[in-house]
Amino acid sequence: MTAATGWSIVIVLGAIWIGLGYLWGRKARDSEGFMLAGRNVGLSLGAATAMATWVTSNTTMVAPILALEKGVWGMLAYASVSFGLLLFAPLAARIQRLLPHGFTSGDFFRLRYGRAGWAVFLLITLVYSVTWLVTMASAGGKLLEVLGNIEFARGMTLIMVVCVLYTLFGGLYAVIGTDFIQSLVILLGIVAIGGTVAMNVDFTAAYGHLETHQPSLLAVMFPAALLAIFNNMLFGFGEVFHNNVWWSRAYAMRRGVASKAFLLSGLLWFPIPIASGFLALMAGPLAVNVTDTGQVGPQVAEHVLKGAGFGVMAGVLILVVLFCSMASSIDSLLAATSDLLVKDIYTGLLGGELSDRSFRKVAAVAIVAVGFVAWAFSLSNLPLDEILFSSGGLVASLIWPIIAGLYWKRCNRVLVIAGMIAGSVSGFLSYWFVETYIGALVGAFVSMVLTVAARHVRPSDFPRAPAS
Amino acid sequence: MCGPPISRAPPLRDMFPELFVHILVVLGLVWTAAGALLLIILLIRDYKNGKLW
Repeated sequence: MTAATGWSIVIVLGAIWIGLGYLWGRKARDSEGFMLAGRNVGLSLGAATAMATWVTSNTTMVAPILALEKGVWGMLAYASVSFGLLLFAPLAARIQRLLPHGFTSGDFFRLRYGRAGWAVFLLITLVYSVTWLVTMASAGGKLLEVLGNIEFARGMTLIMVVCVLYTLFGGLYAVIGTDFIQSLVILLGIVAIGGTVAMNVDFTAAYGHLETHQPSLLAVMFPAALLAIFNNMLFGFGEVFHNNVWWSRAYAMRRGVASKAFLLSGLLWFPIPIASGFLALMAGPLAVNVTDTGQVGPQVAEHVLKGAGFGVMAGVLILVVLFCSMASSIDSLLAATSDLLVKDIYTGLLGGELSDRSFRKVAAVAIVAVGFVAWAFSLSNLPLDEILFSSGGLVASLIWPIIAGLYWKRCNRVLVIAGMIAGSVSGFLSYWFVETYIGALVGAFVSMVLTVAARHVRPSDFPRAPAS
Repeated sequence: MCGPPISRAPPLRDMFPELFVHILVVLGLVWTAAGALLLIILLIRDYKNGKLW
């Protein structure tokens, strides 16, 4: 694909997202409209936005890498990340009931665990969210460089500018609306690409090749892959349970819709790593020369699609699907992280006053600031993928405090906060000094022990949530 | 007398059978396609009932 084609695709898609963002953004007349789409989102848009946000470049790019390294279990391990969405379904209904006027996940931590617990949460979630956003922006730049022949810095800047603009114009209305279209593009694109590959390979011959040359990819007993399943699951639980990306959607959905929407989104998400991951299993049988394991999915897809007569359209199709998978996560992270800055930092910690009129200005500054920080870090060449993966212990240490805060009436808050800190530290150190696959496991376990102890050692009632 | 051939590959019973892998891949693709169709149906239903957002 020429650079001109690459630029054309991204500019056309970007113009569509910005135009729709502007159009839908006119519905946002106050802060609730801008941040939470009026708290009236229905099942179809709710399920699609939850699913599309969870389909990141990792889903479409890392699932094939896991399949290439860990075979069938690698695909299933990545699919298990969907359990986070499934288990968030009952939590979403509970969140709506306990905090009917809530805006962010920070509201919950402040009310349940006081300023100390709130501060620990904000530190963890801001580090995690910004790092996740930076890895998305970097992945977008690399993707445009590989598939669209656009230089990294220019491609990454283009993606960030597009996402910042439509989030700025339309807030959560724009994010949810574009997420629906992006969901369909992702799902149908994966079916088109995966279906073409499936129809163009002799499956028996491919299986025979794997059986002879890469038998471990088909092994039922693959301890590292089995460990990866549990680690990925806990990482997914921690990420979905704590992040404002999901809480803002729970607040935004109409009463009675949230739990169904999250359940449906998990069911829709589950097969995607399998459908995209199996491309990597075909790399060996199809004799695709994988020069960069990070690009194994697109390389196999392009190889087969070109062989099937797609020509230049092969690259176009892959680029559109991957661009949508990144944009759907970047816009959500921009909106949810800037909400935290506005509601928790500006008005909560700094005591700033906001009217509906001044809100839009502050929200705009926050969105641009988050986008700028992500853009600047993306140019820094820091090993942010490693930082993101090593934060599994941090987010996993928030799983039990969230469950306890949502379902228990009383606990020892100091012990729970100690569990968050001890789980984060032990999970982080385990990732770096013991084994990468146990970071989330250790973080969740340490936090669980202290949270369970908090129920029995000098517990006290949680403060009641204010009526509004 | 010689014993069975020695292979570095795991014994067959320890590997996912071909049928399982084939069904897994086909199911993954069909399930993904069904998801897209379901979203479209739900969107039309919500739109008709005035419950999009």
